Amino acid sequence: MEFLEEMAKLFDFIGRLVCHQRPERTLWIGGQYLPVCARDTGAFLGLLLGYSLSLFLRRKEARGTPNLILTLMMLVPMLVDSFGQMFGFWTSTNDVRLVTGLLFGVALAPFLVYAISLAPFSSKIPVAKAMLVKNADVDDRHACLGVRELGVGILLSGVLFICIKLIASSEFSLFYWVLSIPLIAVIISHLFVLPSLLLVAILRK
Amino acid sequence: MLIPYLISLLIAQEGLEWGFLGLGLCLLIPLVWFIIGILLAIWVYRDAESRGMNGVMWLIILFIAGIVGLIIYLIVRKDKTQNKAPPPPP
Repeated sequence: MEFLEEMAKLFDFIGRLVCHQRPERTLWIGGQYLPVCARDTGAFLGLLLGYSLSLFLRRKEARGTPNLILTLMMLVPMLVDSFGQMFGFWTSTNDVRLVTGLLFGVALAPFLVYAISLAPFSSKIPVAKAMLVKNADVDDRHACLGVRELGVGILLSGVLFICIKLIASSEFSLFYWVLSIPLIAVIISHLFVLPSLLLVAILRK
Repeated sequence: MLIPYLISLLIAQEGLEWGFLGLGLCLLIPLVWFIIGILLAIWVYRDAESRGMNGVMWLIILFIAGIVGLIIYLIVRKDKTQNKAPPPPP
């Protein structure tokens, strides 16, 4: 039990690196607050979904970008919600923050993967080769992730949102770990692992 | 503010060595992302200019709108064939 408490403190510390952790904007699950706020919870879990799409649903022969119009439509709601709240036009809710964050993450991940695929050093990036688009060409009209694939991402976001809503406010501690562990893994991978991999690839001869 | 907080926390809890490690990581990671941003901006500028578009304007849009600006650019940018002169009449 002490080990779990220490782990929860560590997760909280890592969450603090990227998030304000305001209690009124953070989901209470499994008897404690998640390490990051609702918006970041959605975004980071969305990133995880998005990377899964890139890995399993990407059209292997296509060299073009993910469908840009749909990507834009999925990114914009979170930005509108954030800036609208920031400038005082409205106060968002945790549900809206969560769902817009999920959509943002699902759309961003494949685009990020594609952008990295374009880099001249992308073939030298360890570990991530299976996810990268070979011979990526921005002018190619064949999208590596089309409307159908991104639609699956939207559907999965909806399913994940419903699952999170069902376990919200639950006191069953397992739910906290089920959500927190992937959250922290994604945060650490973006803060430390990904930049390190990119640096290794750039420095490799 | 975050970096000094992190460093002080690391030093207080783990000692000076971890503090230096934390400092290194905290400087390195933003640096990597910054370099990526610069490379992206250079690519957008060159790509826009090669297509007869205003590279500086798109740089500004990219700076303000970030990734949304980049996606909008990719959607609206002209095809390279539009810049070629029409074939001479027979």
